[in-house]
Amino acid sequence: MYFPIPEINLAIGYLIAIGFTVGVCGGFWGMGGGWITTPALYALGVPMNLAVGTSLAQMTGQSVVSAFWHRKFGNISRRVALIMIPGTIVGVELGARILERFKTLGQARMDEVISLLYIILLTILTVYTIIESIHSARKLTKKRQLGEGQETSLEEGDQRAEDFVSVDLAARLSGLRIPPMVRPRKIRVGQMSVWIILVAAVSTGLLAGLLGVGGGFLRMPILVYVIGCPTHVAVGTDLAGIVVSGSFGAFTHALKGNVDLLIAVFMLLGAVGGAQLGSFATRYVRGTELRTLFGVGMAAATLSLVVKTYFHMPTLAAVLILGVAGLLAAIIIGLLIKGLLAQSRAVGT
Amino acid sequence: MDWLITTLTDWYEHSRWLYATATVVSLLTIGLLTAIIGEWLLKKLGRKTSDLSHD
Repeated sequence: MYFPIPEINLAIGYLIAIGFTVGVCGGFWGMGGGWITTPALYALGVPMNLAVGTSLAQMTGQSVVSAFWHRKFGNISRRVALIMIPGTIVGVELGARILERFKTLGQARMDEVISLLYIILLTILTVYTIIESIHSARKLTKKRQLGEGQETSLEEGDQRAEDFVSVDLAARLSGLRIPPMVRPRKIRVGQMSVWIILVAAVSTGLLAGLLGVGGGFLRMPILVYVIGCPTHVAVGTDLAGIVVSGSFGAFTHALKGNVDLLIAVFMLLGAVGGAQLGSFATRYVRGTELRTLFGVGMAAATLSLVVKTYFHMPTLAAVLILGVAGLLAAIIIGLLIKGLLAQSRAVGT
Repeated sequence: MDWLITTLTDWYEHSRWLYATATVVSLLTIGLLTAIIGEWLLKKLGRKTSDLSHD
């Protein structure tokens, strides 16, 4: 089908398949999946600024579905979400304005700058998340062997209670008593300064606006490691924030001509089904497993961008990111099926 | 479909505010509607499952 805004032909089935894959990953990790859709669209020939804005628009609709289910699972910290929203909006607008400045550099130079920023961020996140989550998983296993671990306290098969963070920056930050302080019920550390949450929100919002992502791939780990949310609450709270920041980002990018609504709608048609499956899967995995899979996804995204930017092979980059995302989506659906079967067996006995 | 593409392209070129509003409203509506349909389907499925267990 011909899309007149980017002036290219794209297969609708392909857009729906990308949407479904992104939906599963997004519902599972609490993100819009811009790190998959932006490079995928770019590799298909959509200009970078349109790929950025369209990804942001698509993830807005997808995040509504995921946030809807996470609210039902009790995975949203309303206080943290309410504080993060204004900070995120300010950050997204700043990011979008910086992107406008980059346009004056010319398309090629702009793509280069955004890609480099993306690669640096993804590399830091990948390394940190993988090392930390493997370390946490080992510590959790040792604790369980010693009989100190948290037992699964929710319904059978629901493993959200088993979460552990080995490098807890949030515990140290909660000691900084910069008023006003908030005490959200669902965070591990008990209390946190509003200013710390706001700084985290503005920083992630700025990067979201600039890179065309909901900020989920940054905000989810920041909610876990900096704010002190359990992993599943970080996923749900993040999604609630993406609904607002994504809506604002989609509006402001659409005003600047960076959104193709038709492409966004076709991707959303696939994403809405995937997002529901991904959200349900979070009920059946431990926080450490969720973060390890997240790290693998980030590693693939980084590698894909390096292949595209420095080896100039956009098709291989798209195949790589979509292949790994598809594989991860299959694993997530597998975990969901495994959890459902375990649950039905427990009900049967 | 052609009418939709023409209208959206026209809004994109001549009325960005309308285009931006349509973008946000349509995507949020699709997301919310499908979540509600999903919940409704799940309830239906749940009811059928419980019916079977009674058998």
